Amino acid sequence: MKLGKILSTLFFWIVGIVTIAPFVVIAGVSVNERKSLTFPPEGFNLGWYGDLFLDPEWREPLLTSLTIAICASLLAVLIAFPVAWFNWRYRTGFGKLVAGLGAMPFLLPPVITAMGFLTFFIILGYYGEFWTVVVAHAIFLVTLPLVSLSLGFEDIDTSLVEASRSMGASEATVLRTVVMPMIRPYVISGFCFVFVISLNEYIIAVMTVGAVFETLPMKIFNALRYGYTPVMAAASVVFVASTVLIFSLVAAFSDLPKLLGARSK
Amino acid sequence: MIQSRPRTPLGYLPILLPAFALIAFYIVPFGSMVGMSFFHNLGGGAYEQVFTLENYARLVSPFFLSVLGTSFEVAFLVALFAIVIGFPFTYLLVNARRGTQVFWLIVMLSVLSLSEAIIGFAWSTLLSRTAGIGVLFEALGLTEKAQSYAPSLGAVLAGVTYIAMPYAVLLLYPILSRIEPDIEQASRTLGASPLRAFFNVIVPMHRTPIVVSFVMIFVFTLGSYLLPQILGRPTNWTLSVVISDQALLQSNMPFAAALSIFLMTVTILLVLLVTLINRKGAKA
Amino acid sequence: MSGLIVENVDKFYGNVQALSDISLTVDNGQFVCLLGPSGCGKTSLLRIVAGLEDPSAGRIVLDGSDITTTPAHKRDFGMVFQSLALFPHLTVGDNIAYPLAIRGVPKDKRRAEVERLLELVHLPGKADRAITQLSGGQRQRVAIARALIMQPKLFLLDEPMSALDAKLRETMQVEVKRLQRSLGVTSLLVTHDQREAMTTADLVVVMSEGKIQQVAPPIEIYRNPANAFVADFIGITNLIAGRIEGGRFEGPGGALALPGAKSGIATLSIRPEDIALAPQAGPDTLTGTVTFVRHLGATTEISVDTGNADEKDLTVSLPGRTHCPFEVGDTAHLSVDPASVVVLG
Repeated sequence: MKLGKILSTLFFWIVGIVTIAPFVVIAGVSVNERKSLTFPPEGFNLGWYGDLFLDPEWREPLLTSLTIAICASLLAVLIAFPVAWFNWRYRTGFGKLVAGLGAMPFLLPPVITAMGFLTFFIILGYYGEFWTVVVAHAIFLVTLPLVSLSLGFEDIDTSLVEASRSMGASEATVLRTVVMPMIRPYVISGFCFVFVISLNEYIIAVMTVGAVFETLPMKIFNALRYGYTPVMAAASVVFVASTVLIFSLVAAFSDLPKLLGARSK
Repeated sequence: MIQSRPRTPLGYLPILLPAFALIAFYIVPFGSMVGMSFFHNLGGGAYEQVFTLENYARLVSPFFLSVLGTSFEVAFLVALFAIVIGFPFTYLLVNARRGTQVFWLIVMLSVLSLSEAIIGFAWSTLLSRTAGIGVLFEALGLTEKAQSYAPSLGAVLAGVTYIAMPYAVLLLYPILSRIEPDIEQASRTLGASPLRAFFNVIVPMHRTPIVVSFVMIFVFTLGSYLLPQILGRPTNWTLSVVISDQALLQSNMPFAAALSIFLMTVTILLVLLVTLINRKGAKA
Repeated sequence: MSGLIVENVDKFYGNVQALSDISLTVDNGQFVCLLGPSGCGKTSLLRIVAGLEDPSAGRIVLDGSDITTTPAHKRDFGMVFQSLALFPHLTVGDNIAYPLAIRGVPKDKRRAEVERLLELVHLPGKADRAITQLSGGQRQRVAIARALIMQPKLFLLDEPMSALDAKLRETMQVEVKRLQRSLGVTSLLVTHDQREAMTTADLVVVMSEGKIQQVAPPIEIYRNPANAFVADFIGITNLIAGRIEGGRFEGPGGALALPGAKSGIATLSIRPEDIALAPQAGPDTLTGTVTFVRHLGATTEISVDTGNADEKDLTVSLPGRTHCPFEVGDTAHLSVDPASVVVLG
């Protein structure tokens, strides 16, 4: 019985360490004094982080990625909210169909969705326009706010709505005074999920605007192919840190285990 | 208060706009891709709008069959590794304290969300001669001189397993978190050690979710497109890589579209298989 | 025409009929309880009155005007929900002031009203608390205060005390009744707890399977149940099937004198406390074998097998300090005061 406990603890931590190890190495590499790929780092230099924000070659992709992610997550939430609300409020076949449609893009390998957008925007002649990647990301990732909002709506006791109605609130007042305050954490987590994944997304961005704009993941991949610079490592560290930070915020403001499907205990 | 449908047609307005967005920007692009797969490629990004099956005919070429073989080999092995590691990990996770659970869930979500460019870069560094396990092995005296472990098929498998593992964890987490604690305790009172209880009770109990997750990870892995490029040689390229290569570098849109349709068909068949397994599992 | 009138209301859920031809009049200021087992349609009826559900047929009339199609938010009723439905994101004060806030009543006026209501439900100074900081009983009071702040024409309560423990429930029942009496608000309460109905109601409406079984004041319901369902549902009773002829009832275990009772086949309802022990067998006694004796403290209950239908032993309830001369297996003779017997058709 003791042995089993030791083995399982050991297993758990080995998996955990291997999961985190790549980022420790990247973080180490990012502070190398000279432009070399060595770990443990030789010397200490935070200048590569400065380059990420100051060197236009890196700052531009960073800003492009951020802009896309913000716009796409706003749009995705705007599309998902009415669908989730409608399906909570009414039981219609049409509503279920739209929700099912919203779940599709996320189920298929992203390269397929990317190809769809590529052909579509080439045929329409919009290939390379900035808004196409925003729309593409929003549609591709709309599943995430749809799921989180549906969970959130399910969680609102319908008697709260009835109570509000019985006290004289119109449909719009119910939405404003009862539903919105209660659904807000789920709106935020839906937004965060789209934001993070859009920020990191590669293939759809390449296939919609790859020839015109460069996002940070594209920049890292291109830099990786044409040589090495510690700025890559710095950029990766910043991305990893912000990804972890955003998910931590989601966890702090909502019930992450429940959001990921755990039975509430 | 929950009504079956809105009282007036105007009540449908809120859902009509999202429905329009999804149709215009998902169904229609999809249709255009299907159309594209039947066009004739002229090279250099140009194509001719005539009906032809030549793009599909190319699917039976030896080159394509070897790509398919590689894709399935990678997907199969990765799905296997991810389940073998992910299942016990998730089982230990759901039994951990809440704080521990939240921490690892954040880590898993992060790894899953991070760009393959970043993961690929991290792993190529980890497997490099100067900054990774090569250095570690040399320091430990395991190898005489540090060497690089990438690019290779092994590196591709390691990298893809690395992103598939969190996917496995997040697939299995909701299922394993629903195990009644009584079940493990019952087998314990019947004399099974925790290790035995895990292998004799927990694993067989979850045959269906394990198989379903295996297929889902298989599909997920088919979608990996950057890691095989960063960590592997061209012979290790998978279908997704070939699709993006055809579309972006070879500028052969019709063939890339046909390849996508093929990949989609495989995916949908696998998802149907999963549904079927699930239904059978629910009956049993 | 003042008060609430429910007229021939039917309610169907798909093919299932939840309410059939319900008609009911509630006078202004009256406290009416809808009492019945779960699934009897009492909650559906309350929700139809509240406007949360539409009746399949029939009308709801309030003070002479038809409100059947008036939406819930225009009826201005106060309602306490089974789950209480307190808004978790609002404080106690904001919960109570909610109806005022959505009507744009200025803040200071809201504040004063909230204090007045908190005073009324014995929670002074708790306006700034979070709902989660309150105990079950306190939440109950907040829900009541919130329902009453608009001085509603109708005060509706849907099993509001079912979540409280038994002792607290009794206290709240008394308090709700006092509050209602002092405010004089017309009230409709749904419950499956007969003690709650007896405590609060001026008029009890016993329902079963979507139909009204009896409408009467509480004690009347107990003393003169209209049918076997009501007799059996309210309190404990002994139902004995037999035959009446010439003012005498004959049934399993013996006979009883029932002067003036109509001849024919009949079922008697006799409350356990209306049965007394007889020293020996006589012309007007029931005789049987003691099968069980329960010493409950306040009372002693004796089960007697008189060969009643469905093997239902008679239950006899004696005051707790009365000596019980029986052990299981003994023969018992029972006498009944004819005035306490209810003859059901």
